[in-house]
Amino acid sequence: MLKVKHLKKNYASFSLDCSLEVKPGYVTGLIGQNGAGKSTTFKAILGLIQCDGGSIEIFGQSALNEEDKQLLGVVLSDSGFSGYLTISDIIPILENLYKRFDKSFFLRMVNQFELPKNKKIKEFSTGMKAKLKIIVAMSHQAQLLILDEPTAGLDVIARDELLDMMRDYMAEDDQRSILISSHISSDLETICDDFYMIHNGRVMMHEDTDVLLSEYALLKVDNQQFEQLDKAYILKYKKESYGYSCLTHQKQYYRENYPNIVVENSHIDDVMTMMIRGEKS
Amino acid sequence: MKGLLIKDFKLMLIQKNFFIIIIVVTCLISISSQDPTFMIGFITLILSLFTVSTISYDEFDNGYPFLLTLPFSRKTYVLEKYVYGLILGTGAWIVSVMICSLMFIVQGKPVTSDMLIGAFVILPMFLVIESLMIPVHLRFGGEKGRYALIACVGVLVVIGFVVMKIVEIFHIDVLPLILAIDALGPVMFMVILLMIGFLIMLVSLKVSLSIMNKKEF
Repeated sequence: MLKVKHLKKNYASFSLDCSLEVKPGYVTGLIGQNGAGKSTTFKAILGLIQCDGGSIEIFGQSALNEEDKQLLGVVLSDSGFSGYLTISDIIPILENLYKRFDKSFFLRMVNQFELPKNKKIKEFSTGMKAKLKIIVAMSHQAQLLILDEPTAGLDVIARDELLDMMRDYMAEDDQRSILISSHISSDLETICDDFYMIHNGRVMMHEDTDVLLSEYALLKVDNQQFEQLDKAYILKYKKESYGYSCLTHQKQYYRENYPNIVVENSHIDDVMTMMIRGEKS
Repeated sequence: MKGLLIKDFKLMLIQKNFFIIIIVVTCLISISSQDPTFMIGFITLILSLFTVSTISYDEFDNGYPFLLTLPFSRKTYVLEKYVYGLILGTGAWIVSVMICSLMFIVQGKPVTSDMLIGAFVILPMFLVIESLMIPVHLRFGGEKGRYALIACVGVLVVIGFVVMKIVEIFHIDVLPLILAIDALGPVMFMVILLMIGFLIMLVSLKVSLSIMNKKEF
């Protein structure tokens, strides 16, 4: 569906070198701090910026053409339809741009989320804007959704509703895929099949979400335990007030061989913090 | 392209009150000055400004990145601005010529060839103005575009002044040129002016496409 190989983009104070793949039927997450290169990667995939190197293959093509864009649904965190338009205005625009625009689905979702049809988008709340963006992206039977922070600014209930929408969307067609970035890691844990972690423009980690949640763990050890610990499966460690916290991808090994140490199930946030701030063992 | 045209007409409708005021004021000026031809130029040129105002609306609140993910190419986007400008300009020209003719009839004046020539001269002017404004706004955006446009007009005025000075200093005889234009007759002259206008617009289109293709969002 989407293959990015050593995508390069150089700015004065930042350089990107990113490789990732989104397989058919997969929901792939892209996580990283602000300024890590997530949005630059999205923009390069969408052809909004020119690349300095590497390759992008999307729908089997090296660049997006008008026909390919029919198969693409996009949410960008900081960009959307002109704020001077209303939902009533954008319906005929979408009808004439997308061959497979599903007006009844669009209106059903607009009503479900109680979005006003005749109010200018610039007067919408952050949450209303986010809901509209995702409804637009899903309203034309796209094969690939590229969602940059789609749940930003939403409350818990609205986030759950949108995540349900994404699940329904994937359930309708097993060839559909989603590439999603979010700073709310719990969103990604519940929806993503795999994820890439990006830091300072480089992919630090690629892992299946199931593996991360079942095999990765945080070991909390004091100084003496740390000295005696077999560090063969420790990815990163960090000094703490009580001793050390260590990130491992072999939880079972430490549970079996070190019954006295604290082994906590890790989440994406923990992994990201350790991968970025921790020291390599 | 149809979807983009709908978007731009919807954006233009936001300014409908401004447009109505312009028509009313122009009609009043035309009636009081006893010169209805004034409105043809004024309305057509004001309407041509709406083309670049849609570029400003597109870029409002960082709208461009999302807009360009919709199913059209950058080439289509640029072409649409010219098509929209032509629809708007020629539409405004036709309507204002009709209102003007109606005012002539109401005032009991005959619709003269002078009025028609005056009306036709507006069309190549409109083409040149659109050709100048669209690439400047695409390159510099709404805010800086205004200053860039003023600078462009300034440069054109300076060029015109320099040409006049050269003619004056070197005593170049422009009479044969004037006679040659006169010999063409008004219809042929208008056709040539229109062709020049379209030629300038084609060059402008090429420049705009190059600007848009190089832009990063």
